[in-house]
Amino acid sequence: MPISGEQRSMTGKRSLSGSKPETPQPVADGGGVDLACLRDMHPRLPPDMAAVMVTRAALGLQRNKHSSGTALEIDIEAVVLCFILRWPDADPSTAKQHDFNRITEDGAEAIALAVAHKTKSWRVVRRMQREEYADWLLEHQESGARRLVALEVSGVDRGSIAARLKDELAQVAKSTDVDQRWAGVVGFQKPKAALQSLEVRTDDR
Amino acid sequence: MTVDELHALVSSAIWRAEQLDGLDLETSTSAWAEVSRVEEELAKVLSIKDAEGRIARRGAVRAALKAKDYARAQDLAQRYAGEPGAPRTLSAELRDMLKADANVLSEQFPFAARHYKPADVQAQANRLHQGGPFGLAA
Repeated sequence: MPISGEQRSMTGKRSLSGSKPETPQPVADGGGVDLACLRDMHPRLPPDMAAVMVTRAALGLQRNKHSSGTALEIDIEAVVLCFILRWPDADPSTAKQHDFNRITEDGAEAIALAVAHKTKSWRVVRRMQREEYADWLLEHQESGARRLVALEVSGVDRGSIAARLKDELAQVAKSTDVDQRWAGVVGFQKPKAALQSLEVRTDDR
Repeated sequence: MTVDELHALVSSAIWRAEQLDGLDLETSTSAWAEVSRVEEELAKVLSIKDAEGRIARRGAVRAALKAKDYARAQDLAQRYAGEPGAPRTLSAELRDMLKADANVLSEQFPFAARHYKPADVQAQANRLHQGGPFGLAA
């Protein structure tokens, strides 16, 4: 996994069922994930869309009493990492201009896309229609070949993300015409992001 | 326009249409019509043999249905299914989309569905769309 060496604190193995990480191991210091750089990570993301997504991520995090610079726990295929998550502050008084669920869903997409780029070097190709069973089509290079990834993302404002991840995996399993199928879920209560490919099931861990 | 620009445009268009759908606004149909147009442009530059080309073709037909433009959806589906190198799976997917949409129409109008097939109604709609009311009289 091409982790860039910018995650700040710990890695470890654990299961999504809620058990604690087993002997986390420190990894290299670095800056973490900055949502202000979402468009640098994904140049095909339209600027207006990226701006709204980042604002909604900020509103989702701030309404859960988090401020920029908080820890984000990331679970990628049973590897647990901890990044520092930064974002441009959003004015809470503007929250009423956004639908509550869109704050959760679009905010989750901003965070998941940033995490996908940071940890896997994936870049957005395009958004997909719901009936393609994924939200985003991403690309990356593997052994010199271009690979397409379908990524289905969801957000959870409060509560566990494990059950939602199963649902999202079931959804993306129906996606066709891609090399890999992944699901991502972002939790806002205690900032967490899980990315998992179809090939590794939560039950197996 | 480059493929990257079209990809950015289609992302933007889908996102906007989804937001409008979520608000149950009538304008979402015109937003989906725009999605269909951009997907069609992508389909013109991406081969049917490429995954992204097939995604764009499915997208063009599906978005036309969401825009309630049955004539356009049928035209596009027919065109894409007839392209050289079109995989059988794609043709089947496009056919299933039209069929599913016809089924929804039958469920929405059960009384009419007892007397007319959705395909007949859609054909009539196509004639009206193409020729206007005077076209029917001709």
